Amino acid sequence: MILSVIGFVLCGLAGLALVLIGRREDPLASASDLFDTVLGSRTARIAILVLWWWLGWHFLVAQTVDPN
Amino acid sequence: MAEPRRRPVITFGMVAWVFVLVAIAVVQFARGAYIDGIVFGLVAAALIADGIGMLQRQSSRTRAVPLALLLVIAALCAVILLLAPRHGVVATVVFVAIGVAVVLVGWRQPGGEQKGWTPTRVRAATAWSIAGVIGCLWELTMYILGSLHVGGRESFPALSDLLDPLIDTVPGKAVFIVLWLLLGLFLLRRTGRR
Repeated sequence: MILSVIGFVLCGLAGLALVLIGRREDPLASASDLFDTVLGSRTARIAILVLWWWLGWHFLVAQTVDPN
Repeated sequence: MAEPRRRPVITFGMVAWVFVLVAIAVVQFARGAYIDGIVFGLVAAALIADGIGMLQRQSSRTRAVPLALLLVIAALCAVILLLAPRHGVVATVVFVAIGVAVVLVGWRQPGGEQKGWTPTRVRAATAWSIAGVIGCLWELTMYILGSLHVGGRESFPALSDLLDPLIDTVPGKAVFIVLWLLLGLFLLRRTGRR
């Protein structure tokens, strides 16, 4: 269980690090700027919105935990 | 008023996003979440049809939804979802309504890349993609390892296994709903900027 938690925490920290690095001018664009660019494409826009929606659906409506 | 059909322009980004949706649909079918799989499959099919020019574009652009209206709707959804039991009829109805609404709003925004892909944006997109793929692979690995034998979920819990007990508490559910809605507001506001 600890291994699993460590993996998820590291993924979260990687995302946080990308947000923080992006707040400087270089070398990465900020998360907001990146989203502005990505969401310019209908395909990406719909895919991201559906992924966001599914996250809530998965935890609040659908079967969250599968039977073992 | 509908515009004439345009020439299809398939980009790497479009293919990548459709691949992501199809991959998620396959995983959902594999875990027996057929409704989830159907949703992702239908969205992927619609985006493919749109990408190859089978669907007509509407010439009338949708104006961005006012922030005040978004906040009122989000607050209403937050209260209802907090009071409604998880996996119940009320939550289902609210989520279906939210899903239809956000897809309609997102779909009717003008398509096409509006901002250029500068080197800093490409680097950021690459870094975020790598982090995202590693996270998804980790989740999938834990799910598969946890499914191999009885009790495996306790040894190799997927993210859902870890968060489910937390969201079953009132504070945990409240935090999840607020964070989820804030992320949705962020995305919808970005969507409405074009």
